[in-house]
Amino acid sequence: MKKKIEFGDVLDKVADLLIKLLPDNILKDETVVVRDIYNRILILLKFDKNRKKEKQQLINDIENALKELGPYYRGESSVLCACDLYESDIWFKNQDILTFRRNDVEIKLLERQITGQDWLRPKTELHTIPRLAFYSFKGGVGRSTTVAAIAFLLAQSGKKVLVFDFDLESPGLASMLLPIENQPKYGIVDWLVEDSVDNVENHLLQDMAASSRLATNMDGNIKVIPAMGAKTDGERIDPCYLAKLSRIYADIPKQDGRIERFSDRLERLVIESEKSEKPDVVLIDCRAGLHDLSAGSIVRIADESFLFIVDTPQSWQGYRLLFSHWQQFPKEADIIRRNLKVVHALIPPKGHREKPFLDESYRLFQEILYDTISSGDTSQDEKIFWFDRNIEEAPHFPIGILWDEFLSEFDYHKFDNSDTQQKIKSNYDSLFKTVTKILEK
Amino acid sequence: MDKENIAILRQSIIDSLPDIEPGIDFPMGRVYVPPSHIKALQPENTIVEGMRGAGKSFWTATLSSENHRHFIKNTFPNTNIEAVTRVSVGFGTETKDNYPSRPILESLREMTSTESEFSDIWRTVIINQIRSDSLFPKQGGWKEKYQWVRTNPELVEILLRNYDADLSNKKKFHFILFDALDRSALNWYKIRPLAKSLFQIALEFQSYRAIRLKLFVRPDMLDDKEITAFPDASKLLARKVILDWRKVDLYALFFQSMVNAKGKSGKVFRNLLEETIGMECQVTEREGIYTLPNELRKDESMQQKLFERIAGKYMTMPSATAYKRGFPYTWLPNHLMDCNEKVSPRSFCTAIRVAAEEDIPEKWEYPLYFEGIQSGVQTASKMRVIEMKEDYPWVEDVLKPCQVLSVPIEKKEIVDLWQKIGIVDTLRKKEKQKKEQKLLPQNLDEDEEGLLKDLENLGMISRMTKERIQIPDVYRVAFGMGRKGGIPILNDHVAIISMDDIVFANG
Repeated sequence: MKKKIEFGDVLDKVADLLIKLLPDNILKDETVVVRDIYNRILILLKFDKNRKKEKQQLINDIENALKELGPYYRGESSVLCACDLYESDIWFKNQDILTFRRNDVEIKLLERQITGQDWLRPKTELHTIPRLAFYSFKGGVGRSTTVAAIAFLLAQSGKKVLVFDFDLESPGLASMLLPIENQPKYGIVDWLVEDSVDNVENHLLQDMAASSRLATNMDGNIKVIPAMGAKTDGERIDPCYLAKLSRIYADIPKQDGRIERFSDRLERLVIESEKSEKPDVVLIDCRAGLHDLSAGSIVRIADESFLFIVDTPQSWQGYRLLFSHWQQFPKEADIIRRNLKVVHALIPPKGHREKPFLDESYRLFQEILYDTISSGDTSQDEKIFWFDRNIEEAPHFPIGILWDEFLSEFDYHKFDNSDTQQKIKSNYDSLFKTVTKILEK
Repeated sequence: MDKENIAILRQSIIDSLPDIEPGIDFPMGRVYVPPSHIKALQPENTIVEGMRGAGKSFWTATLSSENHRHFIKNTFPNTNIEAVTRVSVGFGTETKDNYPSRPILESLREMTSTESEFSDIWRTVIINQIRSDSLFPKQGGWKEKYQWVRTNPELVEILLRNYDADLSNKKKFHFILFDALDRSALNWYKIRPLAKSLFQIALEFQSYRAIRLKLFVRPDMLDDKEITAFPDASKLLARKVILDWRKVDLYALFFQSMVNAKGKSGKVFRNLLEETIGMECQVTEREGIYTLPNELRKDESMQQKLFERIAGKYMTMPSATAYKRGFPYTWLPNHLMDCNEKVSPRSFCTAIRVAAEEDIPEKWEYPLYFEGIQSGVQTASKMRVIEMKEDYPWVEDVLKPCQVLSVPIEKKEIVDLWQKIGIVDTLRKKEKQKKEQKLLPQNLDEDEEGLLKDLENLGMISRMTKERIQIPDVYRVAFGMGRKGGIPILNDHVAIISMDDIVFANG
């Protein structure tokens, strides 16, 4: 029996039939494959209008071939020409076009998805202030505590630190850096909601960032932008938080006809906050998992993303999943991979597996995100993205953070004694050193 | 740093780190004893392990020189070698008449049929070093001496015991050093019993107080069960000392050589050192030799600070993303490491020396430029590969055909390839025909698996899991293998703004 076609086979199949049917130049420059939100395939061709007859023949051939896609075949008119489209540039010059590779042939792909596109939209704009993201595939690995600790250490060394709690669906970072009575009136969710109706005024931005008193006697300072704003009375909990949260992810149509995506908006939030706070460095506590919030932070906003990994099969598998997604789009992956750095989180105090962790981390990067070089090619090109296992500056080479019982149950009030501060200093020493190097210019 | 000092320091690096053999002429200023080596020199430690280039022959030569012993005693007080009044070499790399050469050893072995009698060969070597008025035919040939030892076991023992008692009453030591045992015979079948008997003798001699044997051996020899499996071997091996070169030791060696540079250049570097790490830890001087402050021998961040004055901060031009290219202080040793994470001081010094020979751009403010460091590392790596091929010619037979493969290599891939070309048989034939003057793989008995084991011991490959083989770039490039990554090389890297090109607007 013929193998049933499944989601993972579709793009390869489409690529194969297009490679077979279309001349190279047309496939390369004048073809876009669209996968609609119901997962079905549409082919757009930008033809030279003069050769009508040959054109129609090709369209028919492709149309027929597409039927092999079974459930992934859209039905009639699965192949459209520029002249069939109302405004062809929306398609052919779309900001979301990706490059898909099949046997060295590059094909333009437009994925119509509800969410998830932000994992492949690296930043292209220049900016001035270093932005560091802290990400973990699973929660509960000490990520937020680390952000708080690094903010503390940076402020101690005289830096102005701006911290974002992007973990909107389980906010909490703010309470580590700010006592409850000190939390600001607005949060990120408020900005996103008000911004969607063009209702952001200066005071909202200012009332969104609160100074942490932890830095009172330090040369630097810590400003925190929480996920949730605190109401001024009662429990200081925003009763509308969930209602707001469920509305923030939509793409917003702009006046110039452009669509602003969620990650664009997050980026704009960061830019505007940077303008008003003028920090030396931005720290972002990301949401865990494969959420658009994390995609936006890692891919779109941060200059360096620290990937927290605990040495468990689930954790490795999770990153494998994420990296494999990037891998399918080499151009985007090439940008993203340069900004990653592994953090070995929750290292048990005794008998931890330092070398096996390095091996596993090396394997993950090498197999998925580092470059391939064919044998016999002995050139040592600088541009090639490849590292030996023991190269410290490589993305796979882990920075270690020891598990510490005391620091694992952490809140604002514990910061305020010298024992804690000493502990923070020693436990986050290597990560802090790396961060310091990033900030040195 | 001004142009004049840059030029002085560059020349000084080149002059201070020449590739010279150890011996009585070896400059004192370049002798540095890392902490693990201090233990190796102490009288109570017998077995000293070291990979190629770790310093086995260096210490054999240096300990043999009275001037150098005097210097070490003054400068590195913990070595406790002030009581060592005599040092002899029992086997080594040079052909001298105080120990039998390989052909002589061969002829001595032929005088006996049992391997257990090989220990008498080593007894003869030891007795030969002892000055005494005994019947031992001091002036005779090795055969004669050996014959005497075999036929006079009691006299041998009395002689040794008296000598030992005499020395130990005077609270003195006599070192007898053994090095380069892999050159004691032409193949492993012959080396093993000789080496084993020497280890047994070494165990026996632990009961003496003043006669101290010191065996400088390679790790592969200690791993060889046929050499080290004998009753009570653990009493000997448990106390082995490893000649290690940590990152801090390599840099301390470099700095030590620089503070002792001749004339003005030594002064320039000492000033730089003082300026960088402050007044509280200073270089000290004794009998014209300068010694590093203790902190500078072990404190990585202090060393890094000083090395930044020599090589700049980053392995690229300064920019907001420069840190992603690494820092000279760590980049250098990391790129020279083999699979066992070892760097030999020779590779390290070569890399720095070559770096100083390369041009620097007009406006560069340091003696070393990162491109120079990169080519220094390439040169040192090539030399390391040549060294390995010299020591182990079979490595080339075994790895050259692998150029069709890409790392990481599945074990099955490499084993299939070796079987296809019949490499194990070829090597065995060579062994039988005695064509090969150098050693063949130690574990050839175990076929392809044995080859893997030997390559792993040499630090040329590592096994991530049992089935997957990694080869570091040093050797991968030398043998033309590819790398199996996840991303094909893109032709149009430039089409996209990469993070490396983004310079922060205010940065």
